[in-house]
Amino acid sequence: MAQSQYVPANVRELLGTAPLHEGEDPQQYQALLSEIARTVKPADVMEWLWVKDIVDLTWDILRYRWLKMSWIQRNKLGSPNLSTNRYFAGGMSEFDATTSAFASLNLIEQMQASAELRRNNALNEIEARRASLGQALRQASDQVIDAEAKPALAKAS
Amino acid sequence: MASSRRLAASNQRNAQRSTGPRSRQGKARASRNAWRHGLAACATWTGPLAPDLERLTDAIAGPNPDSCRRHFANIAAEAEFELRRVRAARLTLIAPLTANLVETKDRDADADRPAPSAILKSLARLDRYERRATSRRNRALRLL
Repeated sequence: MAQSQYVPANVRELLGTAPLHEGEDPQQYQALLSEIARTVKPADVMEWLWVKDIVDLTWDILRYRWLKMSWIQRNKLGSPNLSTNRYFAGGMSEFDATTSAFASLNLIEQMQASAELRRNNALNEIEARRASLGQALRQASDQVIDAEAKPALAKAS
Repeated sequence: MASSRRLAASNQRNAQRSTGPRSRQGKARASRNAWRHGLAACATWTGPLAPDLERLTDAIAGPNPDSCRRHFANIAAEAEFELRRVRAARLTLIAPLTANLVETKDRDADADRPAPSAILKSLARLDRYERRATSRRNRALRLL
């Protein structure tokens, strides 16, 4: 059975559309959903909703990681050579622009932390309902995040 | 300097002159002046989404539910739809942000797009709506 076919058609309909934007690969998302669903074998619609939550939040965490990396590269935040003299067209010094870029980076960090917290909350909900499902789900989701789901994000970049 | 009585009289005259929009279209437009993304408002799931909501409620409630079980299943389904609405709103912000970071390397070429830092602030503001919808759904599911 193909990975994307693991989710039954009637459940797929209930779960709604995948929250992806143009540059992201729906097949990668479906593969992630199928992989996690296959591991935990959700027993009813409630468990399917939580599995979908975990998948969406795992995808969000990866997306924020990618955003963070792109933001650092774009704003050259890795470079130690900051000048207080050079001014950009908007009248902002390079130092001010860098400070502002760091503030935005902090926002991305906060959103990622919030997604991780919500993912953990979803896992706790599941663990409270069904201990074995929660443990398998945590393991599957952790494995995916550790592996960085490279193909999906490489396509976006 | 004008006395407070004269000031009050002139304020009153000016207020009578500007009483806001008068046409139906103008009133309709002005009624949405404070509207930003609509996520703070209580959504009513009527129209084309109503059958989908009904289907999800039925699926959550399971076969032959009593009225109490069906009530909480309905709350959970509504919160789930709310959650999807927030995620859809977030996607509309992430798409231009990603485009800004990927497609153009030139700062001047981004002039027509909203500033990435402004988009990030809007994205961060959506977080609480997602948290609220998730908590509401999970509370209802716990009661089933």
